[in-house]
Amino acid sequence: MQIVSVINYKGGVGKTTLTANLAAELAFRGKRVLLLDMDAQCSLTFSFVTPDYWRDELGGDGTTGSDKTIKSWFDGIGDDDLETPELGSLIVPNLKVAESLPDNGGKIDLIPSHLGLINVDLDLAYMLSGVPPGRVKRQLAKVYGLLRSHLGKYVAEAKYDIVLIDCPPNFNIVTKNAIVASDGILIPAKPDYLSTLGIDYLVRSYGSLVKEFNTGSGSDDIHPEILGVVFTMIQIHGGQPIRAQRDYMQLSNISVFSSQIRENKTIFASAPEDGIPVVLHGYKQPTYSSIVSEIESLAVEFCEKAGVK
Amino acid sequence: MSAQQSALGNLLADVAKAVRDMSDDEFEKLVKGELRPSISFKERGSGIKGRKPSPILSEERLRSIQTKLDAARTREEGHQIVQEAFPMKEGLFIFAKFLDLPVQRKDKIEKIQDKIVTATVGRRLSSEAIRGGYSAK
Ligand SMILES: Nc1ncnc2c1ncn2[C@@H]1O[C@H](COP(=O)(O)OP(=O)(O)O)[C@@H](O)[C@H]1O
Ligand SMILES: [Mg+2]
Repeated sequence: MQIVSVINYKGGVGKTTLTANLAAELAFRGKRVLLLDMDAQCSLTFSFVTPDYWRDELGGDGTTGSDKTIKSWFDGIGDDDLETPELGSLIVPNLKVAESLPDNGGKIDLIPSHLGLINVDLDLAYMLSGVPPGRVKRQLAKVYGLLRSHLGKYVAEAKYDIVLIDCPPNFNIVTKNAIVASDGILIPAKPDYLSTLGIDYLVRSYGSLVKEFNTGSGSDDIHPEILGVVFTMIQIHGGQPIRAQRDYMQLSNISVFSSQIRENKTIFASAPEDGIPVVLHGYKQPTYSSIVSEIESLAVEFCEKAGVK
Repeated sequence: MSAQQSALGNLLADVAKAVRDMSDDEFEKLVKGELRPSISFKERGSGIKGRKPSPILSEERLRSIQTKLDAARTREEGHQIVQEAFPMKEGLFIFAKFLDLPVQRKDKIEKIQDKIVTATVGRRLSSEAIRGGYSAK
């Protein structure tokens, strides 16, 4: 079982769209996929369930008083008086997407997100209040390693082939938990100037987190591997990305996926309001087929690079 | 093939080459009707057929300049390398195309040079500054 965080500091780069479609394609190929939505924007959650279901049945906006999202897990670990739910108990039952998958063992399970996830950082800061200065590093590393230890059981039981974590566009305690739990990091990015700087910023945060964890934790060292950058929202002209984008696609100090996802507002704008990622739609037009083959090629390359069997 | 056929073939090949050499911007403008082709005819020079690209612009040479830029520590050093290697616009332009940069034939020398240094030395220095010593390994 491989755990991969999908992350970029910049929002709106197509990260969630890529995560949902990669998951769908992998499940279509018979893989058992667990999705963890850790972004307070809840976009990945809304790619599979409607906001009213999320509000009424999952308690995702905090109005029902019963929380069946990843936030209840963070609340539990941050507060001794609250019970920490089993991660598996947060999986949304009966996702509609299952109807679009063949009967080959592949599946998508989703642990949904909550609007309040944005405040988790502050809540967890309480855990550190009262900790003597000499032990802060150790305590922090412990906090960052919580998701890792809770997912350990799934790893041991090989319950899934792949876990994909949709991370928020920042480096708070939620993101740090995701990175520490991960075997690999996938970075979707748009090929432009500020986005490529965002990749460097991420490399720095990732590097310093890994160092901080490995010096402080006292447990085994972690080595999450940067699987590479996947360029999204490519404008194709004459069979290749336009030159202005190509200019930013030659990165020499990080690995880059050869698969890319093109920009197409017509196809992606309404997706996935129906709860089914684009790649499973089966439209019959040439542009749609090119997009599907791009996602297929991404899935194949991803399995190779992430070591998904 | 008759001489006429062959001449027509050459003419069309020249048009094809002109289209291939266009930048994306130029091409888009052409499609939108904002650009108009202008064709002129020149005497064919005697030696033109056997003309090889000058050794200054061989791929090997272009690659070696690229390697030099990879090692430059400052943008100024980058500018110096490029200036010395390509004092003329033609070479500079060919080098920019070799690096797959978005340049146009009508761009000023300074602009092309800037683009080259930014895309090579500049990108590396920016990236190092933000990464603060951490790498993606
Ligand atoms: N390849 C694409 N072509 C066109 N639009 C896209 C593409 N990928 C994503 N989008 C659209 O761009 C917006 C941002 O995408 P999203 O996946 O939510 O980004 P992120 O998770 O990085 O914030 C969404 O409205 C989405 O529909
Ligand atoms: Mg998102």
